[in-house]
Amino acid sequence: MVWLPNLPGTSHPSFFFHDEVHKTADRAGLTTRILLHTAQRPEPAGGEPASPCHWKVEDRTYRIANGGGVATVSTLLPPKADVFEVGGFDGA
Amino acid sequence: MDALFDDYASTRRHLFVRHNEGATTNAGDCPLQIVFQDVNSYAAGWTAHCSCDAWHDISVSWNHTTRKASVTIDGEVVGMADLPAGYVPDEQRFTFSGRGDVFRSVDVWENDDATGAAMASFRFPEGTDDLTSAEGGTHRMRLTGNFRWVTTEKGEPAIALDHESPRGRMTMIGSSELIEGFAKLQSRAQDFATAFNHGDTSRSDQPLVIRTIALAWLLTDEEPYREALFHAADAILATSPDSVDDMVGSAIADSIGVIYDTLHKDVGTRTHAPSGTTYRVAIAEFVKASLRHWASYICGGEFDSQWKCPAGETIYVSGSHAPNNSGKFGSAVLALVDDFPELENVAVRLLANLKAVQAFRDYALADGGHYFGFAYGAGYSELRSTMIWHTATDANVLWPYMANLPLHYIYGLRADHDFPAVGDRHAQNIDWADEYVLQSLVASTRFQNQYAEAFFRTHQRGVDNGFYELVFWNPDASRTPVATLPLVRHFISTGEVIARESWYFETSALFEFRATPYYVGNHQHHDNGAFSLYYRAPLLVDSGRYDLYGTEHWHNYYRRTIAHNAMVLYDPEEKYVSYSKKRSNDGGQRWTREYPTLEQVQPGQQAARMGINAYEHTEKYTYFRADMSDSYESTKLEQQRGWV
Repeated sequence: MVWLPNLPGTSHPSFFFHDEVHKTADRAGLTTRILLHTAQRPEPAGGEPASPCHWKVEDRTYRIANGGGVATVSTLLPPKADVFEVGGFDGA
Repeated sequence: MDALFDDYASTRRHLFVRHNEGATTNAGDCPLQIVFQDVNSYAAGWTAHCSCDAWHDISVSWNHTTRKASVTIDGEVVGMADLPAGYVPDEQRFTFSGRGDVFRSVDVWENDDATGAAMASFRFPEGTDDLTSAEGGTHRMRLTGNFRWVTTEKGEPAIALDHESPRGRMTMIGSSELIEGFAKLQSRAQDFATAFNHGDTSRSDQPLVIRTIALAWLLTDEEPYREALFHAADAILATSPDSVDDMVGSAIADSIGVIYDTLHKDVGTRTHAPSGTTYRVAIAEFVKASLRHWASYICGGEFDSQWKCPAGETIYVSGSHAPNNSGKFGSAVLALVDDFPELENVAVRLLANLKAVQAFRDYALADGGHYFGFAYGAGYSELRSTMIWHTATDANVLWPYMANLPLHYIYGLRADHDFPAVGDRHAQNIDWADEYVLQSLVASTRFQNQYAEAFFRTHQRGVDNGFYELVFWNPDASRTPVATLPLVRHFISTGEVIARESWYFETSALFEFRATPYYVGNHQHHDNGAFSLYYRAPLLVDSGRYDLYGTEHWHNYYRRTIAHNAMVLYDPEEKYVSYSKKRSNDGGQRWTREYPTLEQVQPGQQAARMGINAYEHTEKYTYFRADMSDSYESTKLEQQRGWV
């Protein structure tokens, strides 16, 4: 994990996570899920979600806002990762 | 020179404005001295010449990030300066103290351009130096920090300020800090005593309430305080040990011990009406009955007739209620043991328990973090019981970990006065918990932690009830501004990294990550590899609500990996069992035995986890790496680099 307090071109800190997950051979088929919990419903930064709970791959940048604060989250890798929205009235 | 706003004081970082008559250049000149004062020096200062008998708009500003300060008079910049690194005028006294014939009013706005409705409006009576609130009553006040405005003065609590505003804090100003501290204590003690003396003894189970009244009695000899303590004693003595839980049971034992000690001259002569014995006897019998009832928390078994514990029994030291309860019973036993020497064996056991848990804390909390997070971490630090033994005996009970405990709260403090939601927690607030004040003052006065002293003076003094401030009174304690600390800290022993955007608590973003190198259980969550982000409000959060300890929600969601910003790997074959009951399968982290010993949390032992194994901090970046592999079952995740 890298915390960058003054990334050029940004006015606030940025941080990068690089997760590596190695499942056992017996459980290689299990699905790895990285969870992000937000106080308010996140919004895709570009375009509308494909469905209320499943965003298009190209929309993997999303905006989390609450109380005047905003975080922009981008999933960089893996290139074909799915981002699901879970929870709220439309959640699954 | 006549002070206009605050005044010269070489011991505080603040802004002051004075009428510098010695610098007058002509009959119509009214020179003002405007200074950002540092400790023993001026951080920046100007003399500005204004015309007499005319209105002037004077604006003084500073920017902590750019370290620039400026003075504007009637819209014209008349002075600019660079401030020293880390300088913050955070010990401001918000007093317009002089020239009652000149100043007529002070208005306070939320914004910089004084538009909209004023938060507060104060009027100066002719010829006085005091501010008068719009509602009446006279107050002299101090502004500290950049936090919410609150008042703590005796009597009228509301002074027409927006209590929800995150702008600052107002507290009453006395002629000395000692008088201010005593005024706070007396104000609280009077409130508590009045309630007790009018039949409301519902707070007699709160040790700090009893201590506050007791200290007021010792300092004043005023009868209402003594009577209030006897009313509290009556309420406690009417309680059966089996009618309350262990936390209340130990708390009221603590309270009755403080009462016994404080009223020692009286308890042997005054009759406790319900029992027909003296309070001395009634209290002793109550404490002994409580000790036998709650013996499992002290002994792990029953006391024998000699008040000895079963041989070979050990107590869980890392997380259960045992150390907490043992600490509270310490107050009662130490108060009684000189008069009832048969309790000496209990005292010996309680001290052994304290030292055992302190040894664990000294390993696990060495850097100031806490595996229970910010809420339960405050109480599970053993400071209150430590100070009882430290002051009442010659036992060596001060341990190095106590020096660093405030650092966790300094780094974790958010704009809303709360902290990251690590572990079990009810709503937290630095303004509420006296444990936070105790941490700062123990670190400052016993370990010379200058950051703790600075934190206390700028963020805590004024909101506590004055008890600890008076007990730990040390006006000469040195302090170093917290703004001189690095913005990122690795709490090595608890596997936590907290990164701040700045030391402006009101506006700073706050990032918190944890991978604790051991699993203790109890109020700790299954959240290795989790993180949270706060900026103006919680953005990435630890989810779930602490409805109550041990509920279905707590077992199946709140403390589980799935409630956190972490990784889950759902395996339909996996089973989670706690308290002999099958729990939900969240795909999260594995469970092991709770309440491990010091030996069991050592690297390689059963309660150990890998945690953070690399950390590098520079001004431009902070890098760290954690390995959470062994937090998951080996059946589904490789135990080396399974999740890093």
